[in-house]
Amino acid sequence: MNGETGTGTATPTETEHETGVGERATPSQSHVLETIVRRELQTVRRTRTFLLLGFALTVVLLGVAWVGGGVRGGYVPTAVDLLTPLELLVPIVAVAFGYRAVLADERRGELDVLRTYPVSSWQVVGGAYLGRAAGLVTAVAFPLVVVALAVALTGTEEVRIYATHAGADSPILFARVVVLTILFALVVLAVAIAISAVASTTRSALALAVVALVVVLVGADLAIVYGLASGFVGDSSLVYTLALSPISAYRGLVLETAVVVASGTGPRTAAPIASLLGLFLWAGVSLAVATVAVRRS
Amino acid sequence: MRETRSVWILVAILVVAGGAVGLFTVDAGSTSPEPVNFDDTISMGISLQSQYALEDDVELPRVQVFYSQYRYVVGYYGVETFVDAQQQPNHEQRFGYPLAVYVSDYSGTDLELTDEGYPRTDRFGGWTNAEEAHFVVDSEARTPAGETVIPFSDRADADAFADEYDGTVLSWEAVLERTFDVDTADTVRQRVDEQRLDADERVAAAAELRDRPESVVVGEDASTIQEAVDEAPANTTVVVPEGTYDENVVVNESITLAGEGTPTIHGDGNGTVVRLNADRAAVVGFDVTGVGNTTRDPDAEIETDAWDHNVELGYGHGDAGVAAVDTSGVLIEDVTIETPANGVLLRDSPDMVVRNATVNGSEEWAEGFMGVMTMRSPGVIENSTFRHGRDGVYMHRSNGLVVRNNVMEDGRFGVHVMHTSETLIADNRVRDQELSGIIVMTGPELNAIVGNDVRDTPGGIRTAGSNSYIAGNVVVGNELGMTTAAGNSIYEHNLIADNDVGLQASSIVPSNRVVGNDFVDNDRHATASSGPLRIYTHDGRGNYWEGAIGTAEGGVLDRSYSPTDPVDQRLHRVDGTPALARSPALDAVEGLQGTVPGMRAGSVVDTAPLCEPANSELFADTDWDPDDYACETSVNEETS
Repeated sequence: MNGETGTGTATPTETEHETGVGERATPSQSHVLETIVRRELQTVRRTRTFLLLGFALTVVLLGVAWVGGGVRGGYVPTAVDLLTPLELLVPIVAVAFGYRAVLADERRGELDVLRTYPVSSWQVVGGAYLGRAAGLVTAVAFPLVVVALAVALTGTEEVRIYATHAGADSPILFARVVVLTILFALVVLAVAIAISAVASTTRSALALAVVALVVVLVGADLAIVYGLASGFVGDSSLVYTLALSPISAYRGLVLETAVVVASGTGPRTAAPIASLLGLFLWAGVSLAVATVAVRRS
Repeated sequence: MRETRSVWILVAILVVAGGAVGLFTVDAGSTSPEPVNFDDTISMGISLQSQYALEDDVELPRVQVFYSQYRYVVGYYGVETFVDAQQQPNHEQRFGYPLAVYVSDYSGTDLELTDEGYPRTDRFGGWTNAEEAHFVVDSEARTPAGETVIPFSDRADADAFADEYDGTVLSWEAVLERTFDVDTADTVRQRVDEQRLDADERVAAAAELRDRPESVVVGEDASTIQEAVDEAPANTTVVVPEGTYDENVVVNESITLAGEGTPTIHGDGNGTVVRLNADRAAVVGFDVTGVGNTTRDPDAEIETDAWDHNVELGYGHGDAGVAAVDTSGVLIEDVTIETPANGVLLRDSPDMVVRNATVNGSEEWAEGFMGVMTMRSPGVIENSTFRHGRDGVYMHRSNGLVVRNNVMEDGRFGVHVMHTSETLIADNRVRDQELSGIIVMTGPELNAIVGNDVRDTPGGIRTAGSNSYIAGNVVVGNELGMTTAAGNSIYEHNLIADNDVGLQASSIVPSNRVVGNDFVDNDRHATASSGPLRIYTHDGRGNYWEGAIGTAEGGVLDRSYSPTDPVDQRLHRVDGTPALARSPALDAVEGLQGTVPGMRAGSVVDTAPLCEPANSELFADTDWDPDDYACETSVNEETS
């Protein structure tokens, strides 16, 4: 992560000249955003660490699916095998992608340069977010697609003399997991962007990133467990309270939309709408915090 | 240009987002598979024996089920068999929910019931969706297993059948809620004690044959045994004083042939030495030698239209030390037989008792035959010793046979079960068999294999069939201790120690309950052949697996144990594995492995391993001390 490569001289002006549309005195808002996104994409592309991260995630997920035997079982068993590793690894990858995004610009003085242009703080944050998101989505989706291919290409072990059928197993269910995982990654990325905007030094960004990871991975769930134990969270509202913890919202959505479909009935694992709202809330609030922080700095 | 591109980007984003949302709106689980040929399903609910015995035009009601998380189509004989199965705890966890259920359709099949109540039709009426069918319950219709439900696609046909045979028409939902009296492994478990008592009674009744008044004494009243037997009136005893008698004897009267001081009857080396042709005939207290060496008589008179005539030809007509054919209630006791063929042959002779017999067969099993060959002859075989020869006890269609307290050594199989259901195979001591200690073949059901001690064989206890009860056995020092090929069965409280492979999960249907067994000192505690993940835990308790780690609470470890897992399987043998097994990475991978077990390939997981052996009394006759494995000890080792 320390190898994050700044874009150096790739200021908006120069980029505009490169694309040959520098004549306009005041570029349109979407144009500004696009320029910033493009700049971020370049950063992502140039940062080898991100490539390594994506590659490592591929190896780990493929390994888990293989060792766990899910690959030989089908899409749903694979999703089940990957769920816990995804819960742990996706936030780490997402934070790695975003925790220095705005900060790096500020540290190199690029933010100050940007401020001399008619660029609003939401554009800075949104651009950074979208640019990093493109990289992150690739880094998260690619490994999952590779795993899905592995499932498709690995024959299931079966005794030929009996009639077989696919049961409730389906690539659609796995695709749902992929979509939800991307969503989860984007939410954590928003948190990371907020950290990068709030922190003033790399060290504090790192510390905040660790804190955020602890909160997302463990803290929110433990708080819910505590709430449940102390009676603060009622039995009937638990399924909605879960939506407040991003990791539990994600887990609940995966179980509800991809696993329970195959395994049968039981208590509800999630309230899908509430969980989705919870995830959007985390993303929205984080980006808002980042915008405010950029404006104030 | 820029605007156009922006529009395109926007369109692309909308399409991707729409597609992503669409993934959640399509119903991924709604595939409705078409019915398959029933022969291609994994079927249950009837033994092969009952199936073969049915007349050709009898068409039993059948069900085929496509489960959401089980790849094979499961077939059930009898709607009630399926209903009972889906009411069992853990059924949905193992198989998922039914995606589709098809039942035999009796509409338009010209259905009538046979004298036994079996449905007879002019053809198979095809498959119909259970949810749309109409079911007649409480009618006179039967399968070999008992009362049965008859499905119709047409309501009018169901009403007509219900009227004629005194039944009630129900919907599928209502049928699913009903309880049916279906025999399962639980029935067998409850039956074992009763079956022992019944056997005691049978033995006591047979013992009365020893107290018949003496009528003829050989050497005093007659010169040969045969002469004495022919002279003796029914219900009396022919006494044979000590000595060697060179003759072959045929008993056509209900008498008791009793040796005094163990005389020897020495046959001429051809055919059977003592043949019993009368009900309640008895042979007590002899050595028998000079048995012919024919194990298979190609000229035997056999009804060739019987489905098992080949089996009878192959096994039912060899020479024997003592044979009983077409009798009932015979007693063969205190006899020692040297034989190159069968020791005792029983054909169509129910209620027989063979006890305290010793049969010494051929040194090479392939040259010899059965210690006791029992064909269509249930009864009791107890307290006997079978050495060498082929199989200690071979049974064919002898439902309800009790084989107990015997010793089997140096043969091919100790006990060989063929087409025989409802047996009790108990407390036998089986050693050094060439192939297997106790072997069940041909898909019988409701068998009990309890309290046996099987050692030093390539395959200790090999099961087959269904609804059986395998418990309290000691299985030590075998290449393969036990298989679980019998489905819907209970395997509990066995001690499985020092085998190359302790247990092989071999039933393709994940319907067995394997709990409360002790696995000690096996190279591999358990392996799994093809089939889904098996969960060897029931009601929060599993088995004792030497090496399993975790924190004990209430006698149960908090960490799952999987004998098929590459790390777990080495826990009791390989240094370093206890540390590796505790890696959070492994926990993360294994955390949810119990979900959708039916979709996973060949493995075994115990989600609540016991922290100490459950059957310390079974260790008494072994080299292991259960105290070495007690909870406290293992916990101390872990923490020290």
